[in-house]
Formats: sequence, C-alpha cells, structure tokens
Amino acid sequence: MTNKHLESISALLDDEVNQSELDSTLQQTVDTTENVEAFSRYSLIGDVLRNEQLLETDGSFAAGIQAAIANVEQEVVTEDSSVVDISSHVNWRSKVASKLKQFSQSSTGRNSAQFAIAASVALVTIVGVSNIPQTNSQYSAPVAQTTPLVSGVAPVSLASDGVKNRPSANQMTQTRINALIADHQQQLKAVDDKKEAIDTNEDKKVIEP
Amino acid sequence: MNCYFSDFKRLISLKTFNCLKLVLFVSLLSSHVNASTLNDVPNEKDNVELTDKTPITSTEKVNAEFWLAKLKTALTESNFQAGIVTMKADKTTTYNWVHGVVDDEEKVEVESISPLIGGGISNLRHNKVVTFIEPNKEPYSIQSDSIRRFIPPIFYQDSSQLTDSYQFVLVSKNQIGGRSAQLIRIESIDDTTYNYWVWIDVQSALPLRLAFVNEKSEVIEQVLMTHLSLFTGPTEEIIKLSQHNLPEPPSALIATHQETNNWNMSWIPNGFSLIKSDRHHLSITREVSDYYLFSDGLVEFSVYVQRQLESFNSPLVLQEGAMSFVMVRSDGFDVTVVGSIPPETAHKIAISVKSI
Repeated sequence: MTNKHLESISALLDDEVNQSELDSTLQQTVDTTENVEAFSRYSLIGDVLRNEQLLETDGSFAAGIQAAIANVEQEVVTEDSSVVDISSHVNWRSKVASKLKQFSQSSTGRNSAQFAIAASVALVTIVGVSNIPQTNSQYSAPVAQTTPLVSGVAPVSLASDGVKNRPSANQMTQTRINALIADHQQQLKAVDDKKEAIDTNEDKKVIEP
Repeated sequence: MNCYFSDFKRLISLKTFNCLKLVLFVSLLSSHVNASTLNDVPNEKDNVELTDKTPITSTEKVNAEFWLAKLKTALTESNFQAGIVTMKADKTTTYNWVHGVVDDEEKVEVESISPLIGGGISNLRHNKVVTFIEPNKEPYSIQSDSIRRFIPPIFYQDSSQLTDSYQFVLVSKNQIGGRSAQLIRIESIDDTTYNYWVWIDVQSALPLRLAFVNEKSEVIEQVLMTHLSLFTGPTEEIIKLSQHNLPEPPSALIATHQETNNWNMSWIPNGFSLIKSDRHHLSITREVSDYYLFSDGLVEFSVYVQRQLESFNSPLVLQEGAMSFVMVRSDGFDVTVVGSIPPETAHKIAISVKSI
C-alpha cells in the first residue's frame, strides 16, 4: 500500500504547494471519502505535533487493541503449556528439593559438592588475587619490577655520549678542538731544533715586556 | 755584582758560624756558575736568586746535572733495544725503541721508534734527519736532533738550559723493572708548569721511567720502559736500519716566520720563549689561525688566535694526561692554549692575549 496519492494532501497541510497544486489537490480531495478521511487525519496529526490540539481518541481504537492483545495472549498461553506447567505446578519446590537431597546424599554428589565449594572458593581467590595486582600496579609499580630481568648487566644507551659529556662543546666546537689538538701535535713534530736555538734568543726580547 | 753586595750586607748581621758556611757556599756556587756559563751574566744572577730561595747544596746540584749529562751521553751513544709503554689519561701506547751507533766509514747514529701495534707513525733517525713513515703515505724527513715521542728533546741537548725555571733535585735510588734507578726530580720553581721526574738506570744511564707530576705529587702522565737489552756494539738490526736511504729534509721550512705582530701576550710563564709564529690553515678545518709556539726546553705550548665561534661556554677547559686545552672568548676573537702545562697556567696565558 502506498500513500503516494496522499502526498499532495500532506504537502497542502504543510503549506508547501503553489496555487495550481492547491486547486487540483482540493479538487481531488473532495472526490473520494478516503481522501477526505486522510485530510482529516493529517490535519489532526499536524495539530497534535504542533501542540495546537489535545489528542482525543475514541474508545473503539483502544478497545480494538485490547481485543487483539487478548487474542494473542490467549494463544501464547494455551500453546506453550509446558512453561506454564512448571511455574504453575503447586509442588515444584518440594520436588526440586527432594531431587537435590537425593543428589547430595550420593557419594559423587557429595564430592562434587565439596569440589563445587572448593572451586567457588578458588574462584573467589582468583578473582581476589587477580584484583589485587591490578590495584597494586596503579600505586606501587616498582615493587612488581624488582624481579631482575638480567642480572649483573647495566642497561646501556647506544647513542654516543661524547657530546653529552661536554655539554659546552657543540659540533662546531668539537671539530675545532680536534683540529687544534692535531695541529699542536703536528707543530711539535716539525719543530726544527737548530732553528729553536737561534730563535730563542731573538724572540725573547720581542715577546717579554 | 749588586746582588753580591746585598748578600754581604746581610752576612754581617748573621752569626759567625753561619757566615762561614754561607761564604763557602756562595763562593762554591759562583765558581761553578762562572765555570759553566762564563759569558752569560743574566743567568748568573738568576742562579744566585734561586739558591737564596731554595737551599740546595752545590754538590747535589752538580750530581743531578752529572746524571742528566750521563743520560744525554747514553741516549746518543749507546746500543740498545727497549720496550716502551706510555700512559696518558686512559690511553696506553706501546713502542719498540732501537738505538745504536754504526761506525763504518762515517759515524751514523741510528734511532728507530715504531708502535708495537701497527698502523701508526714510525720514525727513523739518522744523525739529524728524522723520517716519518706512515702507512699509505709518502715518507718525509725533517731536521731534528731527536724523535719527539716520549723523550723530551732537552735530554739530547744541554739540560742546564732548564735552570731558569726548574731546579734539579737528586733523590734516593729505587728499583724499576729489577734495575737500580736514580730518581732526578726536575721541579718547577714557581709551580707554573708540571714537575718532571726521571728515573735513570744506574748501569746504562738510560731513562727507565719518566713522569709528569703535578703539585700534589700525583703522577698524571708517564713513560715506562718495560724491558731493556743493552749491546756492546751495533746489532744486525741496527746496521740494517742505518743502511736505509732516507728522504732529504726540505732545505727550508715552508711558511715559517710570517710575522704576526697583531697580538700582545702580557703573561708568559717564566722560562718560556717563542720558538715560532706564523699564520696558517689548520689541516682539518681549514680555519685560519695566528699561531705561536712557546717552549721552555722541557715542554711546549701552542697559542692559537682565531675568529669567534658561534657558541661555546668560555672558558672551555679540557685535560688529557698532562695536556691541557683551554679556549677562551676574548674581545672579538677566540684564544686557545694547548700544551703539557697545568690548566691554570694555560688559562692565565689565554686571558693575557690582547690585540694591539
């Protein structure tokens, strides 16, 4: 079922039509009773949505729904009788109790009951234990790390520490230092002893104040 | 003669016994000084002042110098092969040291120093020609009396040149490597430089141990002889070494003494004098530098004046063994002092450099 043909009515009520559409739609609407009812419903919906009118429903709608639900209920109850049986059985509690008593009196039942108790205790323990480290890890992480991973070996960074050791020396400075030390040693190597003897006397006078 | 006059004035106020002792002492000393440095009047004056401050008996002084003279003779005339270990900060280097005199048609003094662990520079000396042999490089020669590796060049010359700034102290004998050794302490008079201790082998007069010692008597750098084989004459190895053809040293050193009188050094430690100054490019960075090399005979230091670096925390002080490196920012330029001197001395030199 499509409401395509009622679209124009909806559009009219939403004030979204031009003059020619308005005329044709009104003409159509008066043609059939279906359209008239639809016009009535739509204006009601619009009024309710715009809070312009309180929704007044007649009793027939609610009664119809009640009747439909009553039908469905009845069908469910009558068809799924087994479910109704257990819950509605007068003696189900006493029956289950006697069954459990029998089970617990048998040796396997007793053992398994003990096992069940032990298992539940263990479960509590596990839950408890598994909870404790979680809270611990938040507040005392170092305790968990005290177990030595590698013994006797200190962690080492692979990055060169040469520059870090001399924070005042950046790359440029470092290059100059190396160059100067190398040059100093080069100069010492090439000192001419004969020259030294002559120059010693000459330059003394120049340099010393 | 002024100082003698003042000495005598002081003598008058002293007791007769002390007077006699002093007269004897001064006369002994002056006769010694006159004998050794007759034509050097300023030196004579220095020596008198020195003995005023530090009483050393003249016999001790003669003895210490006697040992140093023996050392020079041993270094230049004996035939030996030795193992050497040098310890500088945490660096250890080992050398094989061979020396001998081959006297066939003409007398050739041969000396060879080569690192025990390969790859370094080896030196070979024939009389006054020292050749540098490096792997993958053309060997080259320079003119020099000695190979400057672990023996200060002054020990190949006249050690009395050091008396300006050092005093020689003869100390007791002790054992080094199972050999009897005589310790001579070469001590800086004003503590601007390190003291240098030499243990001389009593039998051969060769150095068994050499050490730089700071003012707290801590050894900061040393050279140790690990074994010594003395020969009566040149061995086959020495003869072989003497037959190598060494490259000719250049007749004149390139780029020597371009005068760089732009800088005034107002403080240089006592006894040091300028050996050379030039302006050259550093081999690694190609940076231009005004360069001065000073020596007191025993140790050297270099002064570099360069353009300013972008950033460094002045003063930058580094030390390795006896070697100090001090770089300071001055007014528009950086001054660096490198050498085997205490960092305090290096710093004092560096901050004294001013532009003219």
